[in-house]
Amino acid sequence: MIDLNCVLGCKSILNLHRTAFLCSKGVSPDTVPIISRWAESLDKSSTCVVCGYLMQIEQQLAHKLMWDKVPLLLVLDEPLPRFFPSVFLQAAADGLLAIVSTAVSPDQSLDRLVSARIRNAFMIDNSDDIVVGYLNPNGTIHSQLDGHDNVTILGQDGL
Amino acid sequence: MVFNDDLVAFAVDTQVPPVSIGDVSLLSAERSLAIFLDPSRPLSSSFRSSVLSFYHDVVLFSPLSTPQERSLVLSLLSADFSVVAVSRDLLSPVYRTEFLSAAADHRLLLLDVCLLTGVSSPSPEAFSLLCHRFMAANAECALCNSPRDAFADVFPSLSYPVSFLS
Repeated sequence: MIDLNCVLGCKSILNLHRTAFLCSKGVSPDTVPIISRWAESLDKSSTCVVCGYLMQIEQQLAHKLMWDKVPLLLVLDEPLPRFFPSVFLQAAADGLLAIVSTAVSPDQSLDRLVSARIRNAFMIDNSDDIVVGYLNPNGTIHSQLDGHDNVTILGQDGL
Repeated sequence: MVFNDDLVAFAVDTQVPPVSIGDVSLLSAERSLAIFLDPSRPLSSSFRSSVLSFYHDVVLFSPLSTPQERSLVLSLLSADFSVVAVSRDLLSPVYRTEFLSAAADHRLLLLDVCLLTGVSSPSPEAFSLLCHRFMAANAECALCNSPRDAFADVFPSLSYPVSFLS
């Protein structure tokens, strides 16, 4: 369960159907339009996308969702920053953005891979279903999704 | 967190500059107070504490221009006040976390007074005057940290009394 005291922004969007977006590193240019079309197909009245903000594809998706007025829970694997761009402020004011950090403590720096795994686990555990933009069969996301049957994969090696 | 400037710029450039960000219903609040800070005077802790103590149920109007104004607005937002911040270039700067929280809680309205009034690229003095006139016209009472002379270009036009606190 998400501790609402740790959530910044519009907490009411957490009551919507939560769809996590995960993506392995190395997403191919061919997959990006597929991810974009998936984002455009979302029902913004009933869906909240749970997304990270580390990789470029996650940042692109987050900005597209804010632009398209789709509710968005950003999950950061580092402490909450002190400053946000005005587009974040606008999305929060529109009741469409919440932000949460899975950093263990404000002054503890973890290995990037460890902090990403913690973030991914949070997203998987706190979402109703999971969409994977690109899945590397040898990557950490693949192993973290083991045993989950609510997963849709948009792009995968060998497909 | 390091924001990708290119991505932010892309998102910003594709938008029409907003006149406001936040809850416009704050403009029609039942009780509102405009705060005028004299930039030549430091913001005293007693003034700040008086505002925080006595006006919690009031929507506070303030410019967001000088360091004193920014400091006071930040204090107000941190203390869960509702604030109408009169500013400009709403998409240019980054905002502190307190602004994002207040926006999500419908306690904040940021207004671009230059777009509102059609005045482009005013000098700092002209911008300050624009802010003060906007506040004078839209709030229902005023509080100032300086003698009346400091705002002689605005106060004579007010139809309501002004309170002074040092």
